[in-house]
Amino acid sequence: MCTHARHLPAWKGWCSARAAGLALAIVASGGPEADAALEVTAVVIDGQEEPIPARPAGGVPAAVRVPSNARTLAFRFREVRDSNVMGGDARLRYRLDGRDDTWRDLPAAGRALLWFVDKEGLVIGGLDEPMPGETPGWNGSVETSPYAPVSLHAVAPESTFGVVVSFLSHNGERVVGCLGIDEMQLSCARPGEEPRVLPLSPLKFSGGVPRPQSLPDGWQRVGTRPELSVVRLRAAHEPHPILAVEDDDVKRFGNWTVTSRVLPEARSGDTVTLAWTSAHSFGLGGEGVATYEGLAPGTYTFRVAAFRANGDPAGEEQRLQVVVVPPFHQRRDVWAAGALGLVAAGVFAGRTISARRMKRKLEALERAHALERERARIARDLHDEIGAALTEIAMQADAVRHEVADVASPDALQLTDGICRSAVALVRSVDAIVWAVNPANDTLNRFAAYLVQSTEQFLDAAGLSMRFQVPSPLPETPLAGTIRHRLLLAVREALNNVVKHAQAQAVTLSLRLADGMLAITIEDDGVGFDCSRPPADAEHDGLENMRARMREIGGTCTIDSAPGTGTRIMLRLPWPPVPLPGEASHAQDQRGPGRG
Amino acid sequence: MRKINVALVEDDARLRKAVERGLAGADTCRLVGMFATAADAIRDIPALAPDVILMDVNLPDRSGVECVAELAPQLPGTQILMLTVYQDPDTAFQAIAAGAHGYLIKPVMPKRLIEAIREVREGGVPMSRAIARQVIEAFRTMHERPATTAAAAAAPNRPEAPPVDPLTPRERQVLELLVEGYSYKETAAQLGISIGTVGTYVERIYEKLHVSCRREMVAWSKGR
Repeated sequence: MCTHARHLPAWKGWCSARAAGLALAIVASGGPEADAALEVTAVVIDGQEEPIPARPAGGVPAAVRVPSNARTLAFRFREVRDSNVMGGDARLRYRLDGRDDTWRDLPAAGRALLWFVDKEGLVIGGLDEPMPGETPGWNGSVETSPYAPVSLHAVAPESTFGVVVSFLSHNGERVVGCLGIDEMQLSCARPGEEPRVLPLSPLKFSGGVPRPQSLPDGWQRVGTRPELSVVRLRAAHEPHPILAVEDDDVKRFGNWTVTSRVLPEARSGDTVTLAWTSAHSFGLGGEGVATYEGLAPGTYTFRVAAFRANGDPAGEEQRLQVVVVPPFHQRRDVWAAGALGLVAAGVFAGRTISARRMKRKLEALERAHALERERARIARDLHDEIGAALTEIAMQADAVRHEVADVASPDALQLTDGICRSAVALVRSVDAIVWAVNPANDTLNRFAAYLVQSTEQFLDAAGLSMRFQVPSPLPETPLAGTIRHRLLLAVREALNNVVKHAQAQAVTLSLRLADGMLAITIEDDGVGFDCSRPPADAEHDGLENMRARMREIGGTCTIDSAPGTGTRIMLRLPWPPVPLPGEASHAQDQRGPGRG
Repeated sequence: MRKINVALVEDDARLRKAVERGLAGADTCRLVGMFATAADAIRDIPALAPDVILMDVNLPDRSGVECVAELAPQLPGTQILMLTVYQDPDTAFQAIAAGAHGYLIKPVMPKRLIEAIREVREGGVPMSRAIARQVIEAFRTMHERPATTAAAAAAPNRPEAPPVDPLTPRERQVLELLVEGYSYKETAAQLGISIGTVGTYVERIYEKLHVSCRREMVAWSKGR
């Protein structure tokens, strides 16, 4: 394939050489680092795929030129591999020098399962908890990284006979990463009885001294590649064995499972709590896309690199230069600055360079802000125009309704009511968008204020009473627009479900920021539902939407309910949140320095 | 009973028309004037001395909040209700700190509008949970700062006096219950008082807020 060959890097020749039978010698001399091959397969400017410049023999490849009025710039990349000499697949991270300060992972998560099974061992319900991204302080090892506590609660559905607990390195496709699990405890509580607590840690080994491939009593290795599940020694306190999954396989995953035969009996109606601590770090391998917005004129280097499953650099890297070409008038500007620099070259050379660097920085900032302002302006204009028109529609429909109240059929009245309500709901939706794109709202504190206000509005209109547990003040931590918006939509979805299905009297909204996690809980005192059974379609869509919103931003959504006990929806987001790829946000600065 | 005189400040002609039509049928209130700009409102409303002003937050020439700051001191007997375009708790709070008595989030249906006008006229001062949250926050920041700087400047050798809470314990209780999401009715039940009394406490809290905000502004302008 012609285009293919054009963007093969110089060292890609080794792969072809290997195919020709010279491989072994070269791999041996190149070491494991030389085995993985990465390639940037496409540059996409505003949705249009651009050719990648050819690399002259032995030379530096020409840069990709991007017009400065381009809105989005995306890079597609992948790992090309013909053997497993390195011993595993690469975890792909990327960065755009000139924009990013750290390597960025593609979004990925591991999972914890707390399942209820019936007499036959069939799964009849339970919880599926993603463990996204990286736990705070992750240092590349499950043995020495800090662990963070997690707990899941669920009410056992009808015909429950037991529970199954699993920890796995799989949440959709292409996940690579490491997971350590410690301090596990399972408890079952029944109204009016002492809760039965079963500590699952420390692990016991009747087979002698634990080794990586030993089997702790009661546990099983499963998954599509069971040997990825290993036993490690955690250094904390007394060194002790823990469960780990070290997954460097893009296609397959490992899983630690313990079944109902070992765990205490659980019966329907029991509240089952699974608590543990975890240290983990997940990313994706195989292929990925990185998207950027609003790049200021200047030179950038896109880099994609291979890392090991634990996040250590594997040494392989591929680079592509990108030049965002300034518009003509700016180029004259730069030219003038350059001429000035020449005149003053003898004395001021150093100063001129730093001034130009500063200017570039300022321009980049200015451009980011201009983009934000422009977005906010468009949204506001839309809102003012559409909002006013919709308000007019709503008020006219309302007037019609009163006008014809005595003569119209109930159907006609209901229809006018419907017009009115839809118009009002639309204004509120546009509100939320305007609020989300306004950079002035990019903090947790502003988010909380808006959340309280919109929840209050919504619940007041529905005639429900409410309780808020939202600390004040909250830190002014940056919280990017896309994340705020999705969080808000997830909460709205939850409130919608309460109003439509729960038959509740009161709703409690709480927001907590602790242990590197932002947790928003929406709890009602309504009729609840059976978590184990698929809910009615409309309700199901709502719940699915909520999960999707949270997944998009690397968070989770857990639902805990049983008939007659109300419903508790918990939205969780690792804190500080990782901005979505391409998000032009101040939140990026909050990420700690990456490894590699 | 005399009808409540209402003035409307709103730049969008369609919405002026809609409010006009909405209030036309009301037997408790009547529209005595409509204004499209802050300049017109500031010039003409004091002469009208309406009972209630409905004020849009976004006006073409100046913000509705500035408009409130101009009008409120001139019209002590007038209640101002803000009509906020988007749900912006900050702007709503700024308007209230400047002297507004409440806010409604558009779109407001005529029935609710008429209700709100009557409520605010009868002294049923509304305070939403979102605003209560910001009020607590405002008192906290205002009284932490001046208490340290002003006191230290006045008596550099005296040990610093602890900051004085401008709110009485009862007012603070009311405010905290509102922040937790209690309605006026629930707050009244919780404290064993009438809903009217809750309204009175809220009104006092607002007064103290206005005084504090004004003092804050004076201190700030002197400090420059």
